Amino acid sequence: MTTSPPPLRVDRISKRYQAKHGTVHALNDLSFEIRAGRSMAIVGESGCGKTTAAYCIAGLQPVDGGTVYLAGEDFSGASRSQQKRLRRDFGIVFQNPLSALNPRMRIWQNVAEPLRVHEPDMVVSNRRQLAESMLERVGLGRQHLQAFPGELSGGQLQRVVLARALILNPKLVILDEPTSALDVSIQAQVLNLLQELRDTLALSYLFITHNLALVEVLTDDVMVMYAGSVVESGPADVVFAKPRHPYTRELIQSIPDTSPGKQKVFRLIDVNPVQQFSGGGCAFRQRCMNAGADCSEVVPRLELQAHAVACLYPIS
Amino acid sequence: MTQGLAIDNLALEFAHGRGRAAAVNGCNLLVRPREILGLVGESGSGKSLTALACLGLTPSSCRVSGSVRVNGDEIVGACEATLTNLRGRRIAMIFQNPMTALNPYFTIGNQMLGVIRQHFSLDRSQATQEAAAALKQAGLTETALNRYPHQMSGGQLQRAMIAMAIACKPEILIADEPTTALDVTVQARILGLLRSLADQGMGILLITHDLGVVAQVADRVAVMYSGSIVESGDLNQVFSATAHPYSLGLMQASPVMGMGRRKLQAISGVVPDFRSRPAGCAFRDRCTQAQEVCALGATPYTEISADHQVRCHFPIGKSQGAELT
Repeated sequence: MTTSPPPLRVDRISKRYQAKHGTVHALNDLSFEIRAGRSMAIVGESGCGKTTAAYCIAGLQPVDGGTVYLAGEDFSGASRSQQKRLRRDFGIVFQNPLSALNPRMRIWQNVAEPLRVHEPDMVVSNRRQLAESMLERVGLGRQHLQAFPGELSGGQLQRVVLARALILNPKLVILDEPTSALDVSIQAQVLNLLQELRDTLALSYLFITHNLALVEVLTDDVMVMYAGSVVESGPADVVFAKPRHPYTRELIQSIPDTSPGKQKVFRLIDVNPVQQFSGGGCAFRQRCMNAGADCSEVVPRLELQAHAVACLYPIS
Repeated sequence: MTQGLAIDNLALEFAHGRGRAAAVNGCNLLVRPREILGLVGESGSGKSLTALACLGLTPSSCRVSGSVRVNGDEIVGACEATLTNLRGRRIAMIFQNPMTALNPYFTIGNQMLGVIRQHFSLDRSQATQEAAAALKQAGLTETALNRYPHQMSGGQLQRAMIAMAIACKPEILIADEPTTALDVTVQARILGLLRSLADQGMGILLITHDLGVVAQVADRVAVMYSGSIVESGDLNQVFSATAHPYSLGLMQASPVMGMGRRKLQAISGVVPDFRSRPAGCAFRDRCTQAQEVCALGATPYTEISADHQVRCHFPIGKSQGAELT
């Protein structure tokens, strides 16, 4: 029996930027795999490398090392024409829907644009028909077809972006903070739609977010990133219930709890911004309460197991 | 004289067609000293405009009526000289995005001295001492005085903004989404700082769209929808016996840790634009409880308990609200 290759496999990709004070290691040997029908979230603070990871995987930025495999085929090392062919296999949804759509194209034209690129022989009426049915699928009626992006609300626009991402029937959708520009009542509408589409179309999501509360709603697995490296990964419910890395624990504890009466005691120490200039040792050690002497010398490696942590002194 | 910040029947109107449309309509709020009042609402509900009105900073196209008093002193209709004396000294504001609120050409110290010397007759070195003390209170060191905004991280800049706002020890602090642009770990520290300022005697109006933030630090909460306060009261009462369908909808739509793959309860529809707000209750088109009476005239306030008011014809009973937690 042959098993089909996973929709996405990332093998030790890295990305470096040259800055005035040295090299910024935006991504250090990132490896993971999304199996068919599963979904993965990448969480972390600003500057941890989660968006760089999404861009490198989507081929919007070249990687400095490592390989991205889409459905088993080398994507990052492919030629331009091969990349174009492979791009059919995934859709992408960005944070700000208004800037992701062409303001001078009508809604249906925006949605049909991938068809124009990838199916140049298809007649316009067919493209329009497909766009229309996809827009209906995401909950937008016929009255919006002829509108321009500027006439729609944020939640509606994010539905349009989603329709465009899905029009080529991909198995993988990369979602980069898809709801952070939306109000909470609209966010719930979009999240519910994403859930429903995932289940009915058997989609896999790579979900980039800074909001830990959204992870379990959309994905099975989670990776926590800090300063370009994965510090903890595993099934979302396990990681959140029993975090093993001190950073994951800090992230979870920082989330405001909606139940009043349980007000937390806050710490007032100043936080160093994320350190990305390479040096020996664990990047988190200056913020870490568990750090020992060897944390400044040994770079912790991510374990090879279902719930893995990269820490010399994990929380037991 | 009412202590703290008292907003009475505040209306903010803009010209629309031949008449006027109210972005904020009959808003009543009270922020007492030592208290944090959380003002919650979605984009377009009028909360930021209300904050600007508290400092007399509304755009000239906006017609302001009603009253805003800072420990008895009226802001609405006050002359520019009075406002200059009040702003920074009696009532200060922290804006959402510290990167755009600070001047990139001047050091943090330079900008802080400007505020301090505007209100106190201090020489440079005395004023610098005051600025250093304020920075320390906000959790920064003196070295921040010589830094330019671009040399600091988002969290540090927000602290610098807070330091600037508290440098003249104002009685009232207005924080408009102070942590929205920040990471959760930094947010937790900024909220802790606001709490300690309130404990030292300041009255704080904390504007946010995040109910979690409110639950974390506020003493009282007011929920704003389309220009009016729909529910307000003591934090625990509003959260445990939520009475307005919109407040309940907001709570149920917010994802929380550990909820698993459960579907969120979304509120259908969108916030109406204030220029085309339906008559009667502005929420009725999105409300599951709405009946004919909701379309008629202004909805009156109902007392749920001593410190808990709601503006709804059909407030949710205590039993339903309790299911939330």
